[in-house]
Amino acid sequence: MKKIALLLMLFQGVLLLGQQIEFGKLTIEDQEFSTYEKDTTAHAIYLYEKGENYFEVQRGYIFLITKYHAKKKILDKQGFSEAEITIPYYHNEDRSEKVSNIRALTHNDGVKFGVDQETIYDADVNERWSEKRFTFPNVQEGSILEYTYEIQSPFLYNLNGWDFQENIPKVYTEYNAKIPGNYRYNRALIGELVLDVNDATVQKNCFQLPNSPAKPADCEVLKYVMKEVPAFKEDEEYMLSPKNYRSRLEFELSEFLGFNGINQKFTKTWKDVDREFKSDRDVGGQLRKKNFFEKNVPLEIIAGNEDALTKANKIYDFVKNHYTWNEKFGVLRDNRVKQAFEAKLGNVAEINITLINLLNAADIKTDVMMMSTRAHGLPKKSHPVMSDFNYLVAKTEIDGVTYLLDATEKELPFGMLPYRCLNYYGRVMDFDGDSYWFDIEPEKLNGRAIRLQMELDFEKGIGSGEFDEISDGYEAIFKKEHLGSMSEEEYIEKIEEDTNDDFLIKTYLIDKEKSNDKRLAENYTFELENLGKGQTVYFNPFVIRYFKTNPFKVESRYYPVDFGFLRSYKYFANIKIPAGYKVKNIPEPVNIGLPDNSGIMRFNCTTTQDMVMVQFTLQLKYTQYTSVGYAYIKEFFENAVLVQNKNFLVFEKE
Amino acid sequence: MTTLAKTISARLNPMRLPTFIAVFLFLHFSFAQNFGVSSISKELLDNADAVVRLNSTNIVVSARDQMTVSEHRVVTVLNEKGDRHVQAYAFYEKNYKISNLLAIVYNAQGEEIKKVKKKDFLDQSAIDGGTLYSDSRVLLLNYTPVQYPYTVEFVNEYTTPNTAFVPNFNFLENYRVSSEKSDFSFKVDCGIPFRHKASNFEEYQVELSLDLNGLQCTANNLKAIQSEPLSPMFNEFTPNIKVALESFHLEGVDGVAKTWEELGQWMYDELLVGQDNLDEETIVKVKALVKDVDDPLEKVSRVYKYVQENTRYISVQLGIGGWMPISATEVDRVKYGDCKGLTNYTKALLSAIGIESFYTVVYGGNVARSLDKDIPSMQGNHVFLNVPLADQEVWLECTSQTTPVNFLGTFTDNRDVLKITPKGGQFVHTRASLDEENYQFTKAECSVSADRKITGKVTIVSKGTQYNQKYWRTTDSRKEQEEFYKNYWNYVNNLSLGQVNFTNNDKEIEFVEEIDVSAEGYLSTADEKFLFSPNIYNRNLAVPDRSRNRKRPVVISRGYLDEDEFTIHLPEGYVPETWMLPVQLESKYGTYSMSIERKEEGTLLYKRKLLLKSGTYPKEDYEDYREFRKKVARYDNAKIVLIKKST
Repeated sequence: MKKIALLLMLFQGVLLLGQQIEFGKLTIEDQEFSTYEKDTTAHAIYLYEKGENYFEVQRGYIFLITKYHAKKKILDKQGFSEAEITIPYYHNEDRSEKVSNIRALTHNDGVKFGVDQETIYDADVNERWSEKRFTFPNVQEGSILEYTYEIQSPFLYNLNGWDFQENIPKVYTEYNAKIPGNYRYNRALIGELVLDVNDATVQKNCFQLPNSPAKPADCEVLKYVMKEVPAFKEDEEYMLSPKNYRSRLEFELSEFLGFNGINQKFTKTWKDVDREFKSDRDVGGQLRKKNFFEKNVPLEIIAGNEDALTKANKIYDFVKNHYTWNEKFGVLRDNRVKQAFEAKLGNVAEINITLINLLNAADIKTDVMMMSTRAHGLPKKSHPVMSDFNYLVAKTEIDGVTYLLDATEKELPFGMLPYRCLNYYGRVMDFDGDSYWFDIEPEKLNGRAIRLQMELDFEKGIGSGEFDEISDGYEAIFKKEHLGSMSEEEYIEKIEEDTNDDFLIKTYLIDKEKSNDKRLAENYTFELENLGKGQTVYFNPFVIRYFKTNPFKVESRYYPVDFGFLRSYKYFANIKIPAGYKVKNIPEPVNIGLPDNSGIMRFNCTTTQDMVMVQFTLQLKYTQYTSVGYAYIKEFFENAVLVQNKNFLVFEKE
Repeated sequence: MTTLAKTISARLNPMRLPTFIAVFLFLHFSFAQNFGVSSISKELLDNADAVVRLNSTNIVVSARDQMTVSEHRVVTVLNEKGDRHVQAYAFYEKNYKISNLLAIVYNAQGEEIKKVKKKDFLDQSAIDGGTLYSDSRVLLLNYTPVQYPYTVEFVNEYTTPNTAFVPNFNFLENYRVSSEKSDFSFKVDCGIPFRHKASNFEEYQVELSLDLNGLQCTANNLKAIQSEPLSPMFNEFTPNIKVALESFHLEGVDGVAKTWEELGQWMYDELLVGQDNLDEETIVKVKALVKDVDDPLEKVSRVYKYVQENTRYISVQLGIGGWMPISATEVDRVKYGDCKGLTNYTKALLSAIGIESFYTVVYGGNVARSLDKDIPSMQGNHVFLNVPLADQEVWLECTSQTTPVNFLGTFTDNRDVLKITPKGGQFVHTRASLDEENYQFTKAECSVSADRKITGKVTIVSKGTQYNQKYWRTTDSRKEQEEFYKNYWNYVNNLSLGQVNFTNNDKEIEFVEEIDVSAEGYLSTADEKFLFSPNIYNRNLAVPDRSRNRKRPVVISRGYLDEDEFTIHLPEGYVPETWMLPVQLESKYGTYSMSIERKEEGTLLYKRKLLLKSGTYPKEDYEDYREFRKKVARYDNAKIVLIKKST
């Protein structure tokens, strides 16, 4: 054990000295590596990985060069899938990246097996992306798979950074870049892991355009290393994008200082972004289609005499009903609002830009808010990174109240964003002033509440009753979407299946009067069969259960639990005591809280002359709980499941 | 698991008449038809998400290596669920020529709202996840509906040299899809004889006219069918036709086949012969593997194990490589291959030690589907290996690194398959496991404590199909184990998993799980008594969905037998208030029995046995079967009351 550790240190020492790792040669440490103590569950591991980016002039053009070299060790058969390699490359109508010098070797105990060039396949993925694909020959448990390739790219903005962390662990991963001072890139290190090497030096006169009078540029030479990087493991339900947590270095081209003296700014500060968008004809043009819309929408919706809020609501409904959403997102650029409006089909950006245009046409000042969906990750606040944004909504203020609007989902009420958008904040692009961050505050009233009455007949072993269920906020939207996706009959069958086979729904109706756009009121009548009979009857008062099983199953969690919105679940039942029986016993009350009063669960039964009253409440008062607090959340839900499944009223024949 | 061949689209279409006539016909169609929704008769709208207004496929074989398929399809989609039935796509490969591809979208009134030309179809690779590379591609209509109903008219015409595959035709396409008019014509212009098989034509009044040079069939107004749980396969009771040529062509190779024997002969001669050479070094190695072994089965096992340990499954499908295995030498060199390559390699290794084996074509899948004996043609989606020994037929699944020798599992069991022998094709039926062989025995020792917790040691032995469900789990991570058991015992709240040990006895083909498991709060308290469910470790709570107006027979495709014995130690000082009486249920679908015996002081023995019998039962039995399963679920959930012993 000690020997290995020593060797490992030696190995790293050598690397730090900057010795080149030659392709095709294994180090002693590579050869002697057998198990990875830090993660015995790993099926494969990177022993070594190195990437390099630099700029090169070829035939008078500047190219971005990427060089990649990796050695992976296959630890067991489940790791064999790591032997399949894909190298994506990008192209547009005119130009394409070029992948070259692919070399790959399988090392089995000192014997090498090469990959034939004709078994490296070229596959089109879509209009913009293709892939080189190959697999290694003769892969065994213990094989070391080594490969290298080079990408030559005419797209200088494709300097994207480096993934330090992937789904298998890495012993050593290194990224190098040599960037001429003319190119300025913003950079950000995402995730919680720290760099073991973080070197930045300047190399004088390192880059020159041929035949250019300009003096050679200095280069920034970067070297970043991480060692013993754990595998990235994704968690179960209720989480934000894993992108927020996976260790990665990100670059974004911010500025190009031309060799001819002309500077080109890409992204640097929000002031630059604001200025750029304001002067961008396409972006501005899409947002100033007042004339077009005035001609093409019924005049009364923008020019009516109602108060602003009523008008805004009408416009919102109009846009919702006009469009079919094509399931694509969208950002400020590349939209064709007119065409989309005419086709009645558009992406998120086109639909919401239409909404913004119409609201502004009605003199309700509305701005674009750029944001990112939960799955896409949180935008960096340190500096503008445009690729962090993938979504766009409308932000308006009416009578001192701020509303965020998204007209893509038919069931979504005015002022609520879809669940996918509950990602904390966005950037409001106020084209009359400066842009600013704005917090997304999800609807606060979300939940389900059931009020139930029932009668029991222990002679026949049956019961019957009715209940009203009120769903609010996001819970109402989810239910409406669920209802919309199937017939009423299927909906009822699903509820019956979720309970138990002795529960039958007799009638179902939606109470239209009590329902509104944020609320769904349903009424059910039901029958129960096969209840206990006899002298003593045990009866579980939860006819409907909110949590049949604990949604949190794993023992620990790596990343925070994020519910997106606050929620509450209530169940009130009045159960008539059957004639000839008396209540022998009722369950003990339960009162459980989460730390900092961030959640409560209460359960209480009381009896009167002829009734048993059951009250159950579960409330979550935070939307996010840290991974440290996971144990509490898990236990809390465990208790919720137990309360609903393990409590019985005891009736006894008089 | 794997694909034998590139998937060929099952639909296709009109005539290799001179082009101007085809165009004329097409125009004629467009003007004559009214695609408005109001013209659909009510009976076709009932229970339908989509109505196929027209499905016309015309195939003309003009030479052994030239077949033109013309498809003209018009589908009215009534709601979102109907979108997937538009099926406006065209598969193609390198040597296909698509001469016409067009889609037109109409609104509910039948007015044209969009026209999509060939260049605007999405061009994508048609490979599935398990394939490294294939030259199959697909052109897809990319259309987002903006209103319902809408109608898509689709025209696809292509020419292919691969006449080995004549597209099949289904007059009804799926559940909840009705069919207004569907016709299929097949014409041979070059005198090659053909054969066909028409299924379920009479029940649906499909008309067939046949002559020496071709056939034509038409169906009108076929109503939509609702799906039912535990139903026979859709194609078994709906009308369809299959056609095959006696001489054909496939990716540069000519073939002749009237019978399965001949087809198998052709496959052997053209696709297999010469692919099974090995270099001397490998032959020496494999001979050494079985040195000193006499038992032929042991020899087979050693070679199979060698293949399992040294190769892996990688699929590359290029040209004839979609049907011909890569050579054994190549597999030997790179140590990977697809099902064809690995099967052929294993065959070559066995041959090197003097054991004959046969490359065998099958429809692999969990639904036991046989090759259709009635129509010799290129069929199947997978190959595996048959080794006839003196006393038994041994089967080897060469793509798996874990399947035991001679274990068919549910992927290849109980179906007709085609052995490719030097003397031609031979049909055999693979073994089925009896209901009782799909066996699981659960033995447990469990302590119940007065703080409502249960703690137990459970041993589960699984065989047959129940083995099939688990044997590959030996490499499961802890997280996967936790997910597996929390799902398997999902009726036990707060399950907490201790030591887990899996043993795969691949000789006996049995899988043993040893699990330490506990759960807080398993007992319910009420009135100072405990409610306790004695069936802790094997509740079968699945009850099939209701099926109103059952129309088709009830199919239980696989039966099984579960036996359980739990020794339960009650909390100190507690006894059952009343005893649960033994239960014995008998039905034609199976039997169920359950009993609780009192052992020594404070200890119970819970015994349970559930046998489910495979079979096909008349539709009237469905409710009865459901009742049986409901009763099983109820007894499995039953509770007993524990009270404090009066001292």
